[in-house]
Amino acid sequence: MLIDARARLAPNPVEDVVARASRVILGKERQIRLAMACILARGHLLIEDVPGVGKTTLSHALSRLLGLEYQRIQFTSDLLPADVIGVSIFDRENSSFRFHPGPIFSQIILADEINRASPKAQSALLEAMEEHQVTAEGETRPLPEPFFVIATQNPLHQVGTFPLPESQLDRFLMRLRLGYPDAKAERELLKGEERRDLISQLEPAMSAEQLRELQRAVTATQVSEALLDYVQALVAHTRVSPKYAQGLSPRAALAVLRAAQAWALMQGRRQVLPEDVQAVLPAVVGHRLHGTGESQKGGFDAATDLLTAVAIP
Amino acid sequence: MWLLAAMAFVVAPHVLRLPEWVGVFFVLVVAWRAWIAWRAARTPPRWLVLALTLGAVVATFLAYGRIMGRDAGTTLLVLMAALKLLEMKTSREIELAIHLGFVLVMTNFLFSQTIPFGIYMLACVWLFVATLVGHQRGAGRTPTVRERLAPAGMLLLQAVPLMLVFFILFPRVQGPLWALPQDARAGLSGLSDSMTPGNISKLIQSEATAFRVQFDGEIPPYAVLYWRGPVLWIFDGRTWRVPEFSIAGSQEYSRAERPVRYAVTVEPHGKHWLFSLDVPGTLPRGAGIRHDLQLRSIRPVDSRIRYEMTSYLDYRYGEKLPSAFRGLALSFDERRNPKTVALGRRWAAEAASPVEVVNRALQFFNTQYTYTLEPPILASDDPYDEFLFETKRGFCEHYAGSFALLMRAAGIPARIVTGYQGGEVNPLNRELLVRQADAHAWVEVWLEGRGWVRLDPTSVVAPNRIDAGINAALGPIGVIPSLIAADRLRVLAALRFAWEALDSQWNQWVLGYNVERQRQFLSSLGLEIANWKDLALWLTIATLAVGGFVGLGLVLRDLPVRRDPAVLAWNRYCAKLAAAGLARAPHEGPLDFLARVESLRPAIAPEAREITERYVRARYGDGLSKRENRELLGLVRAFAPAGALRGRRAA
Repeated sequence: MLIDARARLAPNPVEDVVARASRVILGKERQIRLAMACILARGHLLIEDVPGVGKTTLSHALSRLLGLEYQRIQFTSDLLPADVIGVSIFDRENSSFRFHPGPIFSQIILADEINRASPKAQSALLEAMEEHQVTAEGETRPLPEPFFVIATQNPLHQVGTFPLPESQLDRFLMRLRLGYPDAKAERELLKGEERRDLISQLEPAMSAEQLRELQRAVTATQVSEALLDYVQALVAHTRVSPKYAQGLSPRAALAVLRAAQAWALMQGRRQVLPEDVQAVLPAVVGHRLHGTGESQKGGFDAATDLLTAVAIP
Repeated sequence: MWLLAAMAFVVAPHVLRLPEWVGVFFVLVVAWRAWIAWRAARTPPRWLVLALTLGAVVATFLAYGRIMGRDAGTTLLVLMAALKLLEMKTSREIELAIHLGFVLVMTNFLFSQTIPFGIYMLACVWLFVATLVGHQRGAGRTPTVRERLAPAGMLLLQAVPLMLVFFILFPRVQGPLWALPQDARAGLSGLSDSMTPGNISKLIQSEATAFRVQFDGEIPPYAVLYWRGPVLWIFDGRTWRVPEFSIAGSQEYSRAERPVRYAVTVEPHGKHWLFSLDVPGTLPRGAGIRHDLQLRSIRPVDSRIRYEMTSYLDYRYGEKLPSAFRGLALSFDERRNPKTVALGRRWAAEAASPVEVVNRALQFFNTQYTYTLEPPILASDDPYDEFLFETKRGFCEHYAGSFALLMRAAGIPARIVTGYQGGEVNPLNRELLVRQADAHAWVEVWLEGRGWVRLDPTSVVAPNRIDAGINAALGPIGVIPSLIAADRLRVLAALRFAWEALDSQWNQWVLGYNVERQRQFLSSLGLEIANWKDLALWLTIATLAVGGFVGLGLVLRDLPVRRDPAVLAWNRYCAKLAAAGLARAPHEGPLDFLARVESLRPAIAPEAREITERYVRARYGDGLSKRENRELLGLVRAFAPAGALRGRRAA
C-alpha cells in the first residue's frame, strides 16, 4: 500500500526520464534522480566535477528529456553580462533601439563552466536565477516559466577559475558530483555509441504541462511535525556543533525540505520520510557547509557526517 | 578577549583598595596581553615572565612586610593572575586562568559582603562562566555574546538549587569561618574607650551604621533610647577613660516590671563592648557585664553579631556605693581646670543638697551655652575651663565632660557614659537603625538614696537633640553632608528605608546565618540536627536529591515527543529487534531499517513491514486513530523476532 504506491503511478514520466537518461549517462542513476528531484523542487542545479565525466552530457540529456526550450551558454573569462542577458541594437528601419534577448530568455539554461567567467558575468546569471527576471537598460523583463539553470563547474583548484561566492552558491538548490564511472559502466561507454548522437536522438519524455503538475504535487506532499523536528534537529546541529564553520541558514533548511518532498514524490509517496531527507541532504547542503578544525572536510563529507550525527527524533 | 574583560571586572574593586602600583601593574600587563592578542604578537619570553613574577613577590613583600595575610595575599594573587594571563598559551592554561578568576571573586568577599557587591560579583562569576563556555566551544567561529551569556546564565540558574542547599545545610563554624588576619580589622569606626573634647563629633560626621535593633513590640519613646556603651571613670584633666582594670562588683538593681525585649545586630567595631538600653536584664551569649552595667563581649566584635536582650526601663540601681568606687567617681586632678573646680565647690558650699547642686548645674547650662558640631578647638591645658568660661560653644562631650567634672568638684560621684542616643525607625520593618552619627555622651551621678541617676546636660542645651535626633538639633543647614537634610520630598527617605530594610534582612539571614540560626531554621523545618555529622548526612541527601531533580527535569524536557503511543510502540519494536541482534542506528530511517530487517531476517519481514507502515503513517502521514494505535501496540507486543531468545540470554 503506502510503500508500494510507486506501482500505482505508472506510467510515471519521472521514471521514464530517469530511465532514458540512464541510457546516455551510464551508471549514474542516483545523480540523475537527484537532478530530477532538484528540478521538481524548482531549484537550480550545480554540477561540479573534473572535466570529462559527463557534466555537460547530463545537463543536455535532461534538457531534451524534459521537453523544454533550452539554451547553452559557454562561460569564458571574457564573457560579458550583455552576452547573457541580451543587448539593444539600433534598428534603422524604425529609427529606434530594439532589444535582442540574450540566451537567458529560455526555459532551461545550461551554464557551462560557470566558474570560468568573471564575477561580473556570473552575477548577471545569478541575479536572474533568484529574481526570475532580468533588468537590461533600465527595463525589467520577466523570464519564461519554468526557468531552470543547470550550471556546471570545474573543481575550484583548477587553473583559471573564479570561485562562486557563498551567497551565490546558496542560490543553487543542489550541487551534484558525478564522479568517475565504475569499470562496467565505463566499458559500456567505450564500446557504445557516440554520446552526442545519443542525445540528439532523445525525445522528450515529459511535457511542460506535466512538469508543472509534478511541481505542484511536490508542494502538496505531506510534511508531518515529526519530520520537521528532524529537519530542525539537523539544522540546529550544524549551528551548535564546533565541527562546522557556519550553521545552515533557514533558506538551506527550506531547500532541504523542498528537495525531500520532491524525492518523496519520486519514490511515489505522499508522505515525506526521514529517508527522503537523508537521500537529498548531501546534495543540498554540501555546498553550504564547511568543516572546521583539523579535518577541514569538504561539503559532501561534512553533510554525511551530519546525517550520522543526528538521531531521528 | 573575554577573559581579559572578566579579569578586569573582578580585579577592579581590588585595584581601588590595594596600593596604586598594583593597579598600574595590572592594567599594564593586561593591556600588554590585549595587545598581544590584538596584533597576534609574540608572548614574552619565559625568563621575562619569571623575572616579573619574582619582582612582584619582592614588591609585595616590600609593601607589606610579608606575603601572607589578607591584603598582601590578595595583592600577590592579583599580580600573579595578571602574569598568568601574560604567559597562557595552551587550552589548559586558559582554563587555569579562568579558575584563578573564580578565586579572585572569593577574595573580594574578604573585603566586602554587601548586597550591591554580591550582585557585582555574581555578574563577574557569570562573565567567567561565559568565558569558559566560549572557550569550550573550541576552534572555529567565535560565539556571539548571546551564545556565551545565555548558556552561562542557564548553568548558573541550574546551580541555584544546589547553592541553596549548601547555604542552608553546610556545617557552620562557631564564629567566623576562617580567622581573618589582623590587618582586616583596621579602620573600623566606632566609640573608643576614652573621650576627649572633639572625638565624638568626628564620629558624628559618619553616616555608617553602628547597629540595628528590632523591638519585640512597641518601640520605647525616643527620650529613653540611651544605648549604653563604655563607661568612663578615669579623668586626667582632659580625657576621660575606661578603667584599665576590670571592676568587679555587684550589679544589684531594683527594677520595675516593665521589660523591653529586642534584638541588636552590631556592625563590627573591633572593640569589646555591646550596647543595650538601661538597665540590661539578660546577658547575651558570650558576653559579660561589668558592675557599671557595661556589656562586654568576650571576643572583640570583629564580625557582625546579633544578640537578644531584655532591658528594664524603670530601674533604680547602685544604691549602695562601695568606697573604692566612690573614690574613683570623685577623683580629679586638682591642678587642672581650676575655674571649673572652683565653680563646683562654690555650688556645693551654697547648696543644701546634692540635688540642688545638680539642678543648679543644669540651670547653668541652660542659660549661656550653644550646641554645635563644630566647636572651637580647646587647645589649653584646662580645656573645660576654656569651654565653660570662654568659648561656650560645644558638643555633647563638652557638656558631659564639664558637667561630670563640676559634679566631682562639688563632691557628687559622677561618671561619663558614652554610647548612642536615639536612632531612626524604618517604617517598613519597624527596625531602629542607629548610626555612628547618633553617638552621644552623658553623665551619671550618684545620689544618696537614689543610686546612679542618668543626667544629660546636652538635653538642657539642645532639647530636640534628644527628642528628634541630631539633624533636628542642628537645623536644616546640615553640617552633615548627607541626603537626609536635603530630601524634602521624602522620596529619598522612602527609598533609603526600603534599602535599609533589605540590607538588614541580608545581614540577618545571609551574612548572619550562623550555627544558631541554622539550627533554628532547620528545626522550623522539622529537622532536629544535633551535630555536624547529621548535617553532612543531610547535605549529601539534599545534594543528591536536588541533583536528581535537576537531572530529571532536563531529561523530561527532552521527553514529551516520546509520549506519542506510536513512538512508544516503535521504540519497543526497535528494542525487540535490538535484543535479536538487529539494532537500529539512531539516524536510520524506518524504511531503511525495514529494508535491512527484510534482507537479514526474511522470516519476520511481513510483521516488520506491517509495523513499519503503521508507524510511518502515524509519524509522517495522517496519524493513527486510537484504535489503530492500540492495534499497532498489539502488533508490537506479538512481534517476536527470531533470535530474541538468544539475544536475551546474551544480555
